Amino acid sequence: MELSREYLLSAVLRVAVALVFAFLFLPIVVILVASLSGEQYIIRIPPTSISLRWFLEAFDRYWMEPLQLSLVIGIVSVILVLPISVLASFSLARYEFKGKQITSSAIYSPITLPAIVVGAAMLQFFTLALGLRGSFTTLLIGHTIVVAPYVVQYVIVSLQQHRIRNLEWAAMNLGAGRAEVFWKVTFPLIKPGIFAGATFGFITSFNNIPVSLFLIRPGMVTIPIKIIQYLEYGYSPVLAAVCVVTLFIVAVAIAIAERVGQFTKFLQVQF
Amino acid sequence: MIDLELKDVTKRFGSVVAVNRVSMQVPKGEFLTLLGPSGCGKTTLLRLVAGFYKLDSGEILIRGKTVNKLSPDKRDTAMVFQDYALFPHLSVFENVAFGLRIRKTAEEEIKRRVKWALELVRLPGVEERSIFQLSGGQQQRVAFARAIVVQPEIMLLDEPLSNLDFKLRQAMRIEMRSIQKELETTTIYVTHDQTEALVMSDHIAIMKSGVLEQIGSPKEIYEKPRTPFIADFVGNINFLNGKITDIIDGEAKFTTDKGAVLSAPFTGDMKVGEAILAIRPERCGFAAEAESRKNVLSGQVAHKVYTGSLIQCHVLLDGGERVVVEKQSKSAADDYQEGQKVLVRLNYEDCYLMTEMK
Repeated sequence: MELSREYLLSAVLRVAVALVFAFLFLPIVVILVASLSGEQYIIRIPPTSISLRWFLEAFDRYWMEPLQLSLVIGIVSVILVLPISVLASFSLARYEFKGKQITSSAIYSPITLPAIVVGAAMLQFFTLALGLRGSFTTLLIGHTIVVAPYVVQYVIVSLQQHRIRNLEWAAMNLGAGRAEVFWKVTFPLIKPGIFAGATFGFITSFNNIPVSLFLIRPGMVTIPIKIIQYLEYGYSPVLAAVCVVTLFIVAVAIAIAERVGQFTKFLQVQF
Repeated sequence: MIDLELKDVTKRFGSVVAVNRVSMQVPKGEFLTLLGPSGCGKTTLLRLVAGFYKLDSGEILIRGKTVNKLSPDKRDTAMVFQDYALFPHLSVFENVAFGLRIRKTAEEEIKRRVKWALELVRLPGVEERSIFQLSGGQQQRVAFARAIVVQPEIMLLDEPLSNLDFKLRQAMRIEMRSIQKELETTTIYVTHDQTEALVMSDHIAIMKSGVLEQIGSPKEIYEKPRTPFIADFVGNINFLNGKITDIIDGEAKFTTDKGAVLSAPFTGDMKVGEAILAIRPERCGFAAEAESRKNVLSGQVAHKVYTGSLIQCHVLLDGGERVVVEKQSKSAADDYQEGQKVLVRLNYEDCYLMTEMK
């Protein structure tokens, strides 16, 4: 009796898990199928004909330029933000100083405040306060600010692993100076955290709509905004193809970060 | 030669005085143990010597030179941490070689020294393994090898055996001590395990609430504890509260609070007044009716505890005090039954009077 009840429960659990996974992955499957559709402007599931024509269309300059801009903005903002965030994480994780709370709140504000408010605030700051027009630089600055809290968050957690302090002491004790301690011990140990932060930072930048919305100008648009703009005029399977290409780029970014930084190891240990 | 000298070393954390005016000298090649309950400041003191903390006042000298202002990497100490602090991203070889690489030792020399150190801790052939592939005992040996390979002036060991199981811990005590004797490395060893301290040390420094209570050889600490705290912390002991009533001919007369009259050898700092009489359980015995009544008290066996090699009889004295008598098992003590009337002798020579309260 008890056994069969346990069996039933585990069966229910399996079904529930399967449903959750289906819920998460079905839209992606639908997009994949749709992108291969041979139809004109209408999506049928299952598709009645298959072709790669939408991919050909997706590789047009119309889509590739925004995609390229998103990639460049994502990568450059992450590169810019890494050294700043690692230093900020050290000060927040290791030291007590005046205004620590305010510093931390300021860094995290892009996560805690409504994104649309952050975007509007940046626009007003750049145009009204600094007299700047929307440009690559303002977009990059905006994204750097949005990406920073993700990196800081992960690096702080990795610095707080309780053993790091002892390991750094052990290195010092064996004769390592500050720089040697950092490069030979601290950095290798927080590297997964840095890569986790960088990856999620990149994805955040790549996905970002509310901040980009205020900082773009005609002819300089990121891919998510391009997709929205296109949707205003109607739907075409080319959108599905563009989404698949975008998805592919994010997947490659995660794969590279994982290969170099082994951040999933960090995620598994921490959470 | 004095390898390590502490002069009035004091360290505060906020309002807590973790180490309070501790002074001591450690000669070259000595194995000194800092012993005390957790929170007594022993680990803090060790970290002060290593340079992880800055001291608030006082002076630390290594081989006669003050190191107060030197950062940890400039001090010739090597520490074995309680959690071993092995570098998880490095192989066993690279862990042991770490200090040598920092010192820019030649590759050939590194190979030779690492091999030597791993053989010394009886762990050859694990060079290429990850530290996660080692057992706790093996990790402990690697940590020891990593410290010893740089041949430091002073070895600092922070409860290195506390995470090992009992048998391994016993074996490692002897092994570490024999390596230390062979290399003649001055060693400061932190532990809260009194047996470990007695077994391993040349000298033991007992700490309590940041203060150095007593420093002496294991025998001095065990036989002549300065305070009831030390007597109780190191080994087992019976305490009887009472008063010194008289001091005649090198003999102190003592009356317990319950009225039993005892005597103990007189030592320098005794005076008439309140005192505690202390005696180790193994220095007590059972007396036969006919013997001299000096330091003999009557009572009855309340509990008998069999520990294998020893038998502990908890005797409730007629006055109401309790005394533990410890004897070899398979001795006459075996015959006593719980509830039986007995005469307990507190061996005169081993009675020890302390005037400082707990």
